Amino acid sequence: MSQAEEEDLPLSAQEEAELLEALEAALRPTELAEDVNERLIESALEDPLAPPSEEELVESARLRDALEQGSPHEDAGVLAALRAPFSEPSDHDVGEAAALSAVEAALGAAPKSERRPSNVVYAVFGASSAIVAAAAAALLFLPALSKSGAPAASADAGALVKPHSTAPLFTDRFETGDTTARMDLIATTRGHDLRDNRYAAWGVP
Amino acid sequence: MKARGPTWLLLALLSLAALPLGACSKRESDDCGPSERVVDPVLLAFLSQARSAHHLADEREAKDDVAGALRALQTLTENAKPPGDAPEVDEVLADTRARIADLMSRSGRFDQAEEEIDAGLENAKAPSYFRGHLFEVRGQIEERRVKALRGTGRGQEADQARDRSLGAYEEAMKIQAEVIRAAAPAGSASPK
Repeated sequence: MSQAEEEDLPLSAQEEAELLEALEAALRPTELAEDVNERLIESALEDPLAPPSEEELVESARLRDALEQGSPHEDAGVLAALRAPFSEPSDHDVGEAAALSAVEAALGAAPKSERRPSNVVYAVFGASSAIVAAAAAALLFLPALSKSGAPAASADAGALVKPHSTAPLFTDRFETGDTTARMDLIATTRGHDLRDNRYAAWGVP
Repeated sequence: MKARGPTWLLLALLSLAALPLGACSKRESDDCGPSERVVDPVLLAFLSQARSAHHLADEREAKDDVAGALRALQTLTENAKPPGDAPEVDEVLADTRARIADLMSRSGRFDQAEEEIDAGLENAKAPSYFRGHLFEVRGQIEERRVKALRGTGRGQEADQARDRSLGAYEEAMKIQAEVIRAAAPAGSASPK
């Protein structure tokens, strides 16, 4: 029997009654009896405080062994990653710290050169360092300033809108009563210009 | 190895020399001259302030609080101008001074109104609607003065005021004609 033929078969009286009851319940649900409700909840939920099953005990032992001894387990990597930020420094970290302290000790114990260092060398490297630091600071902070404040005028100055007369916005003689409307138009138009300048400075087409 | 010190020094000096150039174009407070400036937040802040002042003045005028309206507008003209020579700033100030002068003359403060017009003409030196408008307002101020003087029987002074009024209107017409003539070849810019 094909699926189409099966679908065309008439329902028995009982099936029809059950279907109508289900539709009625879906359409106009009635309140469940309390004991039915409890049974439904019990069957849907597992008790989180229930004693572990045999299977769960075996699985937890496998995971513990995997974490302690490094034996393979599908969840060991995730748990190790979660634990890492709260764990004590590893051997690698300790080794690195020991190496650093050893270097510091060696530097401290090293005999100082008897030769007096040249002031010229200090001056050149001191000044160079200061100037390079200043240049680095400029590189670091000027882009931020340009984004938060005025658009840059140096790179594509031709593409940025410069202050200019608002006369082209008006085509008729002024009335004193319209002064506020003129202010609105000027402020709105230049607001658009500022937005365009910012986009241009940020490289947004 | 010997060349490293001088090379570093040269590079560093070049970086230092380039710093003020970059800062000039990027810092809001820098006044780099009109050719270097772009429409920036400082200009917008001024324009926004102007807009608010005029709206405030509208509200106060609607309540017949002319003194309050004048106070709102004068905060704009009495404060320091933003750095640079943005034409927008001078145009807004010229228009604001025209309104101040109009309000003053309505309450009989004709001489003070004339001073505002003179200051406004300093903001709008080239022929423009702004300059033309200032002369129109001057004509209105003198008309009001004529009425006030005639009311007190000072006919001769009233006649002089009437002549000044007519002269101001003529000047306004001349300026507007110039503006229209200058705009015509460019195809008359349309308002946005």
